[in-house]
Amino acid sequence: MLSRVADSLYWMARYLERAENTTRMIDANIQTMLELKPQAVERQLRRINRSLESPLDVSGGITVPELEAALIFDARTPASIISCVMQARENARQVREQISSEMWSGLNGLYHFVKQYDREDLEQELPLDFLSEVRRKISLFKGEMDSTMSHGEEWRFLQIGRHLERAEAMASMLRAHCGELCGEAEIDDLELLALLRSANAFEAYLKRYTAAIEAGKIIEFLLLNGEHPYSVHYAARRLEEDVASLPEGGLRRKRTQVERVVGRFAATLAFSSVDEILTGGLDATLQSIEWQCGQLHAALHDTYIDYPIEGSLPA
Amino acid sequence: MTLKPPFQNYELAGAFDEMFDAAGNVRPEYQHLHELLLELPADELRRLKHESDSSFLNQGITFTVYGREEGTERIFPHDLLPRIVTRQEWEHIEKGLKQRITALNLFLEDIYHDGRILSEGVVPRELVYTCKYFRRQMKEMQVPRGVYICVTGTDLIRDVDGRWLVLEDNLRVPSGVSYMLTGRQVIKRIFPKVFRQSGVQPIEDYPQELLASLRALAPDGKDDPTVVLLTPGVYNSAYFEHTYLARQMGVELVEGRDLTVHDNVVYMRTTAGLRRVDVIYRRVDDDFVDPIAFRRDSILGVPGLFNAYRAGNVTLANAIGTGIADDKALYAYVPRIIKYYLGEEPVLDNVDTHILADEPSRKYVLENLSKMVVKAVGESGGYGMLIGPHASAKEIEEFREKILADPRNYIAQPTLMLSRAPCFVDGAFDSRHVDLRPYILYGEKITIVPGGLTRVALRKGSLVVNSSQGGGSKDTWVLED
Repeated sequence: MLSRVADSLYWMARYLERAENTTRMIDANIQTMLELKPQAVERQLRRINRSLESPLDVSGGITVPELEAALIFDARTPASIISCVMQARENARQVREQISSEMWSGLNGLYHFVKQYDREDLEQELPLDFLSEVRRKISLFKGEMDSTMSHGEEWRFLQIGRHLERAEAMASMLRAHCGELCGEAEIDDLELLALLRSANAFEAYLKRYTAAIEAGKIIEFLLLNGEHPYSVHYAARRLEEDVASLPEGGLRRKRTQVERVVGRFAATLAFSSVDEILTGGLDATLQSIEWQCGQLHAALHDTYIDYPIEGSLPA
Repeated sequence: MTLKPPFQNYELAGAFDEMFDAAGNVRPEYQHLHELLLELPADELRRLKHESDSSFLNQGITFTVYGREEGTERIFPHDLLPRIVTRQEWEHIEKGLKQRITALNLFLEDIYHDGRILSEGVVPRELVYTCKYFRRQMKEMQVPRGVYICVTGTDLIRDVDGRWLVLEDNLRVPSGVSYMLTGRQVIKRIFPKVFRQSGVQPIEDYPQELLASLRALAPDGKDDPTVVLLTPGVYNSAYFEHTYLARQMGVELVEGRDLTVHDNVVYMRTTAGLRRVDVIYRRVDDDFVDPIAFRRDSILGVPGLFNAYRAGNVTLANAIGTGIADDKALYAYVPRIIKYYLGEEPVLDNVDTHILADEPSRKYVLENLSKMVVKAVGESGGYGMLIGPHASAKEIEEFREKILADPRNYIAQPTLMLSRAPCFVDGAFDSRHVDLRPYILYGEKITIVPGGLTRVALRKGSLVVNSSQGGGSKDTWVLED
């Protein structure tokens, strides 16, 4: 496969995952915020912003509708739904021949649906219907991706983009709640429920731990659970699996680098316990996860996309 | 004269009609189609038209319209009724095209080497050297098998007597073949019975023939060459065609940024490492192939590609610099070029073109300026042109002065009339002007798939068949016998 094609597939999946992440984040929080006290709402808004790697300037305070507008249809906001969907579509356009026509038309439909939503719609009512339709369309797209294209190299790069983005997004979201989860900042149960909902993990958490909402268990579930698709450990295992099926790449020794980074990442999570993490410092762990995601991205890029000519010429 | 329903509004006068003779009798090759059209109710035809349109849309057979937000894609209008060519006509066309391409290829080889035809004064030297498509970088270079033009799309028209004439040779990067191929697929489903009854020669092997021709032009000693198709990218109006052909041939579709040149060898960057490239079917103009050799501001090209080409490590198809042979000024000389290299009379004539540097032609044209179209040879896109029948007496006089001042700079042609073929427009049958673009492949030998792209001017009375200006296409059937 051409390196450029691999790169576009990878970014298409990343941007779509990012769009889904922003969608879930808003969706999970707006209902909660209706019930919260004003200071709690303020805190929540800041956390949403930090979870998405602070795309907005909230130093002067921000209101719920402002945040919604910026994160839904403002194409200038990097993590907004519209800008992520546009980027995903643009990447798909570059490799339209590599993805199935169902995927292309699904993504195109999503783009046109998101594009027609504007300030007027937002003023009418809460964007709940809109957000659940976006989620539905993204889920449909992922379903098409898994069932209408061969699970070969192209599909692997899509999976890698998707899981790498997910691991990073989960780490970033937990970091935004770090003080609260470690008991250093104020948070009430409703806000913790919103955190679980933002990670698609509310019902799965209840099944595993019952309705006893505790910070430690949330951390354990979102970081170390091996079965829930939105936990970091699960994403790391999937990454390890997908990387294992990739070809050798431009430089053989670089390939070893990719395997080492992803292997260590998955193994660390597999052999960690939540007590150790809390003792060693949650923020340090999360920071290390983000750093490892960055390392993996760089290693993949250097091996498969932008490798030097020297040393990679065919014999 | 008026034809019987459902052809009561069918315009017959003033041009050669493909389906009816001047007396309104159906030509034999159209007999089966004509019978079907008499039987089919209008509703059924509208349903078929709808089916055909949605088939094109669903297959994504589109072209990009420039100048709109994000490059709007449209379907290429495709008329329901096929255009039919008899076997005898086709054999004549095929013979004429083979002759013409052979001669033009020899001409290219000559002007990029010894230039005998120039020394002997058959073609004026300055005409070649001042042409913007002449590439001095190609001087003395040997191209594989001496083939410069691997793919040609020649535009043919029929005059009022039904005589086939060459309107234009497209020797650079002709497009449209994907519409020929996909159009056939659709029409076969719409009219299966008439298709079988008529006995139509197949065209489906075009991608295999194209690949075979490209492989035949690989650098010496390459038994199993790697062929790629180089596209300018998704924003190019013919991007659909590029993806279609790449897929049909089973070759990689690459952009300039996928290729890299090292030690005069071209590689493509893949996830499994660099892979050597031997033949590039490039759908990028000369100017944009290599920013080092040609336009410096080109971001589509591959730095160093031209040197790799000159070194004989990679083949570009078509070769660089073929545009000189389809230049407007040179067109008038093609009959002489054929005679010079092959010692034969042209099988297919040009549209009558007067070279005003020639004394007798000049005299004739100057006496008949109000009936002629006069073109300045160095200009394109309708600049420096006199359309006699539409010009004022003052404009004609001004042009007369210009011609007398610099006769070499002008050619003149009579006002053209294209033949008309039956079309299904706005729920009824009428005739529209058409041309025909067959695709000629030159690898080990010259091959032409029987047919081509019939372009149709869908606006009534219009002679403009270009897709950007209300043109569409028709399936072209060449019959078995």
